Amino acid sequence: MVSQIDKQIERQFRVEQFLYREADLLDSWEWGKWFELFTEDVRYWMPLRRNLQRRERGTGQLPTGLEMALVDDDHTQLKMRVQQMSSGRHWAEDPPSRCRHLISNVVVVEEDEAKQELVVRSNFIVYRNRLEREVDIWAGNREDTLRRQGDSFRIASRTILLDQNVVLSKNLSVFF
Amino acid sequence: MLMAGAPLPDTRAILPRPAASDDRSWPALTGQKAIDRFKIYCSYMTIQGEAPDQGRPNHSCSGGRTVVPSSDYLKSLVDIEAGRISPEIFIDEDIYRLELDRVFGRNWLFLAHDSMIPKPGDFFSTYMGGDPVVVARQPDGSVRAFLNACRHRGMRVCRAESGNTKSFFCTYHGWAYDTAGNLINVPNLSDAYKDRLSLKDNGLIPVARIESYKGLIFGNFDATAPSLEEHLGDLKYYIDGWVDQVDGGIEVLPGVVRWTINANWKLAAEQFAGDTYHAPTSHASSLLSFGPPFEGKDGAHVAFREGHGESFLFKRHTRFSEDPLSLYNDAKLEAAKARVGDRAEFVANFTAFPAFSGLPGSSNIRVWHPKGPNKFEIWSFTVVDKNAPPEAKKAMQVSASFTEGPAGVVETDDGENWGLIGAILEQGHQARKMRWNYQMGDYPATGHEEFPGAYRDSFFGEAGHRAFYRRWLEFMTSEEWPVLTQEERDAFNKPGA
Repeated sequence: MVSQIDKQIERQFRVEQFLYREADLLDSWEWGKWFELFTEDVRYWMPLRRNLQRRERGTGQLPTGLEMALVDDDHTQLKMRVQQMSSGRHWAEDPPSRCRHLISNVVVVEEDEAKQELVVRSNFIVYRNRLEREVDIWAGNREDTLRRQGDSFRIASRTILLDQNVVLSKNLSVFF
Repeated sequence: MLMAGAPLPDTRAILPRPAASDDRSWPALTGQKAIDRFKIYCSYMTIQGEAPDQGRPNHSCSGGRTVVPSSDYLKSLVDIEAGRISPEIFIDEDIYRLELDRVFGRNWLFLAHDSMIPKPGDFFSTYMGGDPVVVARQPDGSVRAFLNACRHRGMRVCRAESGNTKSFFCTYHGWAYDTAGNLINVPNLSDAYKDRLSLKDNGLIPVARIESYKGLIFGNFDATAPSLEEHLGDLKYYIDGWVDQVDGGIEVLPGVVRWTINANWKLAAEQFAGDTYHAPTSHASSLLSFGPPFEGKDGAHVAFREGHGESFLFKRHTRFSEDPLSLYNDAKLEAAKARVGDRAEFVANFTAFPAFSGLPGSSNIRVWHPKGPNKFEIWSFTVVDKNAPPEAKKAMQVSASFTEGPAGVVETDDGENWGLIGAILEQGHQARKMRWNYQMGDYPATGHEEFPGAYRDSFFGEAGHRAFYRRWLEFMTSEEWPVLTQEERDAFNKPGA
């Protein structure tokens, strides 16, 4: 008889290992394999981080649903980005940047047994060293919906919250 | 801040020998030429405020002692006729300080669009040059703008990027201002100031002029400048072709996308003034993969004496077909053509001098905010037809997020270019002596019976760049607002007329 706590430990272990291996694919420039981790109904979304007055904070983050985002991709768009990375002519990442995705504070927020889905939050620091001396460091938080598939998961949605208001880099040409 | 290493215009290794009259760019080390060289060095440094001829009657000056690059020196850097420009203008600290005063301090700068601040009390925080500015809708529907700096100690009075408010409050000592910038409350006014402080004289510093064109609101710190419409000139024809295609005009989607480039703002402004030449190379992985390729004959470029430039494809090259946006564009085409003719199908890019740009066709407004000689921020606003159906607006938002912005599949490669150029200028010494080449399209403009401006019949060309820097140099070397006569404008904008 497996106890409840054992189940949670195993679930936590599987989730963390999944996220670490995903990060490893990105840092190894294996964008094609990385893309296979996403479901076809995925929304890969990086909304803006806004400075609002206290009383307006949290109210209507998306008042019209039309708010601009840094990234707002479906499966097709994400695939085009991955193809661009592999095109040999995407100069922003060719030669590729050296990146380090550090994933931490992994918390399973909820689990939907019926849908076989987990909502998982994690923090990230992404270090990018580009060409010679250029360095960008981005920190933020992700909220993923992970859908169970066999022993592993697929990412059914990802919301990336970058902790920068004005993006402090010349582009965001890497994946988060 | 005397510049011990003040850059000398030495271009021996790169340029063919210039004409004898152009000694300035050809210093030698001995004899009379050494003396000339020393004179050039001296001419570079004029102490602002000490020389009697440096008065600035018509606009606020940066104040204090500032080393001002002399007009002769500036003119030696920007040779429009030869199509050669020294990159010193993109990196020199003194030139940058002068630019804040003479270009940004007295020009029409884009602040916001009407749709971003529709209600009384709505505000938007932005910048004019390096200065933070708040733009606010007044109870009577008018718009005012003022420096976002308290009159007491210069603290920001508004730290939100946008919102709605009745007042702005300084969190340092508590001075409060209404949305018109009037000082309305000072803590302890009676016991601390004995009621001797004039509220009336201590309002926020207003932006001297606010004018708008079809909902596009511009501000100007110089009360003597010609009107916005006069400044925009015939570029209005092309702006109309974009913002006036359908009844109701445009609106800006919520959320301004902003990011940082370590390079000079003019690199972006000049690109939008007409550099479509970069697209097939820079955007090889995106533009050409997702849409049909284009050639020079598919479009044209125009330049304006006022410093503006635009290039355009005659026909829309749609990246996405059969999505709600394309369906909407197809559906409105006839009506749009009835209003603005062929302009309804343009895919274009333009810069309105100095720092307002647009991408009609990609529905993108840009402002290039300088943050130092070698740093600027891109502020990108996405526009849609106000009366478009929600699904078309949503498709525009998704399309703009995908292609433009710091993560855009098109835009990412621009950041790579600008950032690396900035890095070369930051470190380089020999690289700063180079003269960059701006000779493309250096053939007579033909003019066009329908399309105003100095028209050249290739999508590729740098006439817009040259017009931009011609105007930039006029502002930088002029004590007064460099007014253009109608004759000057016509001679340039209406070739062969």
